[in-house]
Amino acid sequence: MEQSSDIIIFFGRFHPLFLHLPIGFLALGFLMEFMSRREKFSYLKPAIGFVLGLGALSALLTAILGLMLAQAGDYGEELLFIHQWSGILLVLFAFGTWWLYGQKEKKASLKINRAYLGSFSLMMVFLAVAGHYGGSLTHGANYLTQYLPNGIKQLAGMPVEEKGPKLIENLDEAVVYTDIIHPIMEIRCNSCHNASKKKGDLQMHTREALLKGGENGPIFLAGNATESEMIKRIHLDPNHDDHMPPKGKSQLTDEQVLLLEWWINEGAPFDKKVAELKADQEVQSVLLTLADPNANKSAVEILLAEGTTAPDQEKLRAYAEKGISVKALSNDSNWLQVTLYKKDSVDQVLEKLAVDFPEQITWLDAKDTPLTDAGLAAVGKMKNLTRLRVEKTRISDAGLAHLARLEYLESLNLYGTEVSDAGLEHLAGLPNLRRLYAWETGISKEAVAEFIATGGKVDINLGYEVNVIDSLNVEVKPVAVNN
Amino acid sequence: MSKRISLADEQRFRYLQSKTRRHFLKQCTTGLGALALGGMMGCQRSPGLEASGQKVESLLRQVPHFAPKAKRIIYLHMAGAPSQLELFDYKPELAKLDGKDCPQSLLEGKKFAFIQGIPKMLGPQAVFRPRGESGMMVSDNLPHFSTIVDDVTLIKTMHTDEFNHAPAQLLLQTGSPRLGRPSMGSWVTYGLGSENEDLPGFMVLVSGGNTPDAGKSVWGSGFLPSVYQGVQCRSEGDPVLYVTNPSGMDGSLRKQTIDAINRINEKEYQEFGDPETLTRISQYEMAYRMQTSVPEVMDIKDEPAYIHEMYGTEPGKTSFANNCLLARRLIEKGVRFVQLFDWGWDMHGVAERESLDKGLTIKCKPVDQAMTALVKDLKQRGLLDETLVVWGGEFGRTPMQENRGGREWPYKGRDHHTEAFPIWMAGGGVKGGFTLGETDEIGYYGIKDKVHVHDLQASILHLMGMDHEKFTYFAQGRDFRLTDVSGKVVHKLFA
Repeated sequence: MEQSSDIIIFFGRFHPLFLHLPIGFLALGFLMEFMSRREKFSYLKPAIGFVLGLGALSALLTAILGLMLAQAGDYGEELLFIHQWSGILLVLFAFGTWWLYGQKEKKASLKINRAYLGSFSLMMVFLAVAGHYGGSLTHGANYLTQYLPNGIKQLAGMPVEEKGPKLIENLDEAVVYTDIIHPIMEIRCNSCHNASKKKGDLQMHTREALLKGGENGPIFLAGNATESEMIKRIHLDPNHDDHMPPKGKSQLTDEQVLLLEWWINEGAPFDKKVAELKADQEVQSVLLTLADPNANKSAVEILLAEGTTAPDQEKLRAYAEKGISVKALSNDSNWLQVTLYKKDSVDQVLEKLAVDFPEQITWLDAKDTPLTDAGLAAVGKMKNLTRLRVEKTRISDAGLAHLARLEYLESLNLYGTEVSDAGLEHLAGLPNLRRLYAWETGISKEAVAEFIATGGKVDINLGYEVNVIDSLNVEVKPVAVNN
Repeated sequence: MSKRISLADEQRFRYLQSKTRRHFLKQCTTGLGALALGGMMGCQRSPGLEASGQKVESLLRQVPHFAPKAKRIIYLHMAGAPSQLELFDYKPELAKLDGKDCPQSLLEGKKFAFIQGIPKMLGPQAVFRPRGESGMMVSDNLPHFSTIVDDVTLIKTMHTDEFNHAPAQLLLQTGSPRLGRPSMGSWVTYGLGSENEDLPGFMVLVSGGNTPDAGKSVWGSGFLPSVYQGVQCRSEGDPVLYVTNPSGMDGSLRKQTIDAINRINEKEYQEFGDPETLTRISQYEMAYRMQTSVPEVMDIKDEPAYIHEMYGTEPGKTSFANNCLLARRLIEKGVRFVQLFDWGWDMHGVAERESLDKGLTIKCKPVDQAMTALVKDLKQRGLLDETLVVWGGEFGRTPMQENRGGREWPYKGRDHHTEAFPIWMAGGGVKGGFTLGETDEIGYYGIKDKVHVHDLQASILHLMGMDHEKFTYFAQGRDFRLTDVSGKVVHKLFA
């Protein structure tokens, strides 16, 4: 039984291959019929019968293959019904038209001619209907209109879809299944598991269908994501036959998988709200992005992602010619990174850079150069600066005052400079400062403790104490012992 | 005193002297015709050649695909493959199986380098403790490393395709188990160029008494222009062979010699258009600059005493510790990729030196101290944010005891194992105190978040701001990339 149904489906899958033959033949026949009425193309007339014959026979073969494919049961019954019967009628009318053509050639009569043309036209109607519903079965009902411009959709009175995922306004009140899980399935699963198409006898478009599962039984085990068929298949090697979504289709992101697993682990509820389910930190941070895509990003990350205006290429070239390293941070943005060396006259160069690229410079490396406070004054004007390396330079406490308005400064390297606790005070107002390197400076542990106590989120590194441990004296037992 | 005339000028002068009009007419009859024909048929030097043979200066302007997290890499390759079961992968269940026969299911369809018949399971030969705020399990073989776990991302589920050292090292470092592909360091310097005009962008330091089994190909440039190959430095004697002037030759004479050679090479290039000639020219220029820059950077005597104590370095010796300190100094100077190889991690248990309970502990001691010092030192200098440190071997080791020749050995050892091995990374945009992946109860297979060698390469390139699928080089008739035809960026690693 199993064997025979396999071979039937094997042949059935040739249906999508063969179906283009009758479409082509019959449409060609129709075209020839009308073209041949003109004197210029009358030579086509004798060939019409041959084309119709080919069309009818290939339509019959296609229909048989189609019936075999339907055995697989992957398709929604409603659409399949229309497709199947319009296809069968198409075959009947194709043979009818062919036969009438033959009759017409034998003895021309008005009656036969009319019947022939009527049959031909009806056949073309069934061809269009069967073709359209076949397409809907394979690609989904909205395949044709999905990318129709929204303006035309509105004119035609069709529902207009929002571009991109919809943001959730009130996260706590959002229903997990309806607002989070269903939309994921809609974009990643439903093109093959929907009302009209049910690959593997599985539909995923409604709650009932999800609970019912597919030909191998339920697709998830409420409360246990790892044992759920759906999750197992998502984690299979992408080249594995059972991997979902199949190779070549858009894949789920790590975050989407995490949400699906979370929902199943929490018992796969259909009506619970986000606030009613437990979510660990990882899930929580992903959930936050559903309400605000920038939720987990720092102000600096948002700034860098937003971009800046294009720098003047002419000026960039001038710096390059002088051998000063002003480079794009990356090929996909206008941000600039500047690296200065001992040989450069740093203070003057910085003054010029602050005028030429006040918005574009975001990384500046002036380590181990003759930089002084005068140069720092220029640096203070580079308002989108996020990383600043001025270690081993001649800057002083007073110079740091110039940096007080760099609101995006995230990383500052002062190691090996003369700055002291007094200089640290100038940095207190920097809202995005996260890393400060102050090893071998005058900055004291006490000042650092105070700085952090006043609410700074900054990680200040004052260097490490040398602590050599003799690992050979640590007792090593032959078998592992937990502490 | 007459002005000294350079070799090149002298050669040209003599050549011109010997040429007469008669020579020209005699020799050039076919030449002129061929020249004319070539011109008519549009034969010119192909424009692509120049692009690949850029001079070093222009390399300084290469820009990544997207904003990078890391600007430089230090790759610490433990050649021979350290045992994960005695260092990072805590398996109490394996301890219970110690001495029992290995189940047949683990042996079926597997190839081992030395294991024969049915081996016995071998419990962990080390004590593990949770360390740091993250509670990462680390063995007592690595007491220093235990203090930096919160700066480290540990991948427990690396896996590879090769179970012998040389092909596995090649696969890890070049993306292919066979010879001929450019190494990771060559790719990175080819893509991003150097940040220091006076030093090579890719430098290699070797310790442990041997070069890696795969030989120098693990830092070769393959089909990339050879200017991108790793430059090996020694920490004993001349750091680079023949970098100092021979006796009787001063700097200016050396400069003149190099200028003369370069002029000849430039003529050669104009005539044949071979990009390797440009590489040669820039290498000569680089070598001249390296005469001052290399001895300066390679001399660790000027480091303060506490730094030597921290790393465990002894100036003048060849050791992993010295190489770690040198790596930091090179990174400080803007070298793009520093590759360290430390030989001697192949603990098969056929001698005490190769035993897990003694040899490994002794091997770990200086390495643990130096690698930890490197991470801390980079951090206190503010370099760790921009520098990715990667540590690991080319594969892992079996949970079974090796029974080479079918016999029992007096020492505890493990065979090569491809299915699960660890790699840790620090800085350069990876998470701190984070462990990726889980292995099964005996550390045989990865069961969650497996990371293939190509995935690691893709992720490292990603951190450097490069898309491993777009970053290609045309050679032998097709585009090549470091990750061959696979590799997936592991976003979970990134902070």
